[in-house]
Amino acid sequence: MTPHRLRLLFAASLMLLTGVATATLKPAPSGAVIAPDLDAMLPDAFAGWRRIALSDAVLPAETELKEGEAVAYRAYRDELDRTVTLVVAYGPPLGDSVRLHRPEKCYVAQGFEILDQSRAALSAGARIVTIVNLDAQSPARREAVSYWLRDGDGFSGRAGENALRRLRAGLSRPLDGALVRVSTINAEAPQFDLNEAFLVDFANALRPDARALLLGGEEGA
Amino acid sequence: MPPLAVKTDPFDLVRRFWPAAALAAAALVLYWPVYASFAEGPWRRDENAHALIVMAIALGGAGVRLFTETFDAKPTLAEAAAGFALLLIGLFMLVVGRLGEADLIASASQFFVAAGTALALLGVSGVRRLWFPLLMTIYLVIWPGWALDALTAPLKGFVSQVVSDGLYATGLPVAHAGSVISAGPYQLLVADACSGLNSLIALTAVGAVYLYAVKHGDWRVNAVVLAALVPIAVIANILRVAALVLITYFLGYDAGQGFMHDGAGLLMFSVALGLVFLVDAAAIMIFARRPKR
Repeated sequence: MTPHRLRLLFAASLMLLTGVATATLKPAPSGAVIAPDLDAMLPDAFAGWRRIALSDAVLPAETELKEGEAVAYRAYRDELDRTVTLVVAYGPPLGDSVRLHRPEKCYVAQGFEILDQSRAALSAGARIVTIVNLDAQSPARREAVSYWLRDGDGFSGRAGENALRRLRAGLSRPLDGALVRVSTINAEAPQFDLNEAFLVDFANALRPDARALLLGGEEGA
Repeated sequence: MPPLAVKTDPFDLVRRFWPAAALAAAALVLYWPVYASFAEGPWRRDENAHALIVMAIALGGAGVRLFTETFDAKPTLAEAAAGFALLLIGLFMLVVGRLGEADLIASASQFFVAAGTALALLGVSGVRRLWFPLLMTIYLVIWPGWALDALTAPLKGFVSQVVSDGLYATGLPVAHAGSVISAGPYQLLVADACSGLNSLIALTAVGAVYLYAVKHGDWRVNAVVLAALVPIAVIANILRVAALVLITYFLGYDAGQGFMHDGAGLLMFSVALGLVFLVDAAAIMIFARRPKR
């Protein structure tokens, strides 16, 4: 046997071993992913907020849903006639296919300018939720946008963060994700306090299954 | 009996090629599950539509060279060691990528596995002769959505601005805000954050294949064409968007959408290829007059 053949067969056995090892380590995919019925899960009335007909929301540009994905668009009004628009989106645990659109992108793509961007922490029950506040301005109107993006067990404030956490956490199992975005239209100062109050009330009013879906399992933080 | 019979002896073929066949089979075992999962997800998305064609070109290009040319299969110890190290890195990436559901890492492993195997078996001279198929494996990398977004979002803004400013200068009522172009009564969103300019990667891949196919002797011509690929892809996209805006403005919304579905991709690829030919011809004409260094 020539050295060349030995090297060839050595490379082949390395590949074969890795292939077999990966196949045995990797659990078979769990079959079809079923999209959650977000509309049935979300509360229609809570803490003074009541669901109303949706008028004019900045929607994610990509409206075509892929397997296991779900989106709900809603508007709520409280006793003081203040209106908020809510978008809830869920991405299933299908590896890199979780492509929840960050609201920054949606708004900029639709002609808004992000005047200011900041982070805040809300406590919803026992859980601390990291949210992002965006002050968005278009020629037509100014919106205060607040959202949380759950990526696996954590909340992410920047696009790059997802990737790192994915890499670390995803080694054990595929991750799913959820986006909860609320926005208010205002002429003067952005009403982030209203957004945040709504998000806290909303999180506390969620059914257990919706809570797990949008905020993640209770063991993470 | 004529000696020809010895050459066509199937057992001789088997004796000569069974190790190479074993390597190919092992590679198939290694990547089959990966490709099966890519085929169900990432390869179905627009931005990776070129993956299978690029793979076929890389395999074909490498296969033809390996079978028709004689390779000196005597790498030095250092080359073999470096090659196996690269191969191990690639295999490690594959395992991590597979278990972590990270398509980016799993797909990037292809380059390391291919380059490592080539280096370990054929040495640096072999890698040099297989440079093109090896480079093409980089086009097989599946970039995650956020990376593509980061790349294409500024481009989208730029394309919208060039198109609306250009058409406005000709007297048409066209303006843009972000990636929304308004043309008269119509509002057009320059695709969405994840698909509009994904053709960029495919367009540059086509250009690279062209360059390899024509095989210029002068590296300067190759460099000029290579450097022009990305600007050409952007120009092709600008023309596509401009055509969409004009058709929508003059013929209505439905005509514009029909164009998007039927003619836009074709227009873009023919424009891009035409520009590649043009740049290529210009570069040849400029450099042909001067002596090659």
